[in-house]
Amino acid sequence: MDAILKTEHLNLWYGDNHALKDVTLEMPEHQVTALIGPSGCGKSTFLKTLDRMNDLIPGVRIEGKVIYRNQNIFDPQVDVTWLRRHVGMVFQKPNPFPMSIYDNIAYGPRTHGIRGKKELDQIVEKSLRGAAIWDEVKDRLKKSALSLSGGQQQRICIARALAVEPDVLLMDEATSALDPISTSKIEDLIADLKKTYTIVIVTHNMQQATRVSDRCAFFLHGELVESGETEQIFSVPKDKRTEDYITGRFG
Amino acid sequence: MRKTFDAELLELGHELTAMADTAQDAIDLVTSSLSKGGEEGAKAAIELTSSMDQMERDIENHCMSLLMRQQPVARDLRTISTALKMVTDLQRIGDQAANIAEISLLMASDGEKPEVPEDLAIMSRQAGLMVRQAIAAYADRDETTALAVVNLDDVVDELFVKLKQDLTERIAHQEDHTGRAVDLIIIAKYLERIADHAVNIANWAIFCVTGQLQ
Ligand SMILES: Nc1ncnc2c1ncn2[C@@H]1O[C@H](COP(=O)(O)OP(=O)(O)OP(=O)(O)O)[C@@H](O)[C@H]1O
Ligand SMILES: [Mg+2]
Repeated sequence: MDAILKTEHLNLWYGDNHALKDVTLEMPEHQVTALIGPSGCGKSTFLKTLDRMNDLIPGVRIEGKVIYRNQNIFDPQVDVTWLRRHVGMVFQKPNPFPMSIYDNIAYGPRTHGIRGKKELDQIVEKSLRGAAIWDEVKDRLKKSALSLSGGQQQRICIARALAVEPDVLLMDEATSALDPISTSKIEDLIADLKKTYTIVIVTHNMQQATRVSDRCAFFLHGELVESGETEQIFSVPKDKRTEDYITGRFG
Repeated sequence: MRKTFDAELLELGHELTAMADTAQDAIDLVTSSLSKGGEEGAKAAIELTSSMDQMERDIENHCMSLLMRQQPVARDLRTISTALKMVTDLQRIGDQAANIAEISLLMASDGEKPEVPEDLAIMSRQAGLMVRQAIAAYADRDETTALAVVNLDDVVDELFVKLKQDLTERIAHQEDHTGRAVDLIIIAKYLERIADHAVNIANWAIFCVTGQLQ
């Protein structure tokens, strides 16, 4: 098991609020790791920290390490743009840019200096195919991305993340706003994408976690209570708090 | 939802307990009817075992519906999946009891009133009790009782071996009508199988509690 991404004794405070408590977790390559836990337990905070999306928030203090390919991402020489190119993020609400489908996908590669039309065309097609939406949009690439349905927009956002050829894909409740058919498409997509990428998802849907993830990490009050193979977590969890949560006995 | 679900899981335990009680009653009835002779007891036992068919179907349907509606995980999943396994063992136990009843009907029609060896009566009580306790262990999530049932298996096996020896000797010394002694050996074998199924159930109960398969 090769962990392409791992945290070591990661702590995060929003002011006085100790939101991540000494979290040590490995996310192995070409596997889907699901983060689960009740609202406010720190899943999004953890995910954002992996992409350094909250270290500029005023009052935030971070201790410990996030190691991506043997490199602590908080080291001063690490360039955040470089990091985000390799570690992509898809958010809960689809957030396509108010521009054409084509430009949404080409946006990232362009900022990384790719200008040639042919090359961009190729990247756009490959990314849209990768996100399983090419057939649905290939005839209207010039149309606004905002004209698409929620499920389609979410797959556009996934395609946009894929366009810069990342290693790791982080998804924060990427299907919570979608209907079962779109959800199922994205779940199939995740299963497909893990052959090429390493994926970390946050989900409140326990069935989704069992369907798509290889490993699971259960958070509670900022603490990593238990992590392990999804089958083990959902059949014989070690910690009673995990069992209580996944069987809905909480609170 | 959790409350409703918990109530349904409890209900599932009650249904299995009722089925185990019926099995135990059938076993008791059939053994005691052996020495009494006549057909009444055996027929009543057969009726009891056929009522277990409907119980089996009801429990299976209940399990399927819970799997579908609750999509259970962890201990909930084990509680339901083990119920599905145990109900099959209970059904087999019913079949064995019915088999014993059939033999005893044949004996009765021959006008026989065999003297039932003490050990056979003990085996029968033991087996019936094991069935009940195995299900109680599941319903109460009681690993200790389940382990006790597993350990009782050796006692029943020993009784069976001893009984077989005694009856074989009787045949050898022609102290007994050969056919009757053979029938009694077959009955003992069925009881021994019943105890085996009870042990299966107890092992499922242990799995349900601990998540570890024996
Ligand atoms: N930008 C912020 N500033 C201050 N506190 C924050 C901020 N973001 C999150 N928090 C706090 O950190 C804790 C963890 O929040 P986080 O959003 O990581 O939880 P979550 O597990 O993602 O919850 P949910 O399932 O509701 O999305 C909460 O107590 C929250 O109030
Ligand atoms: Mg969140």
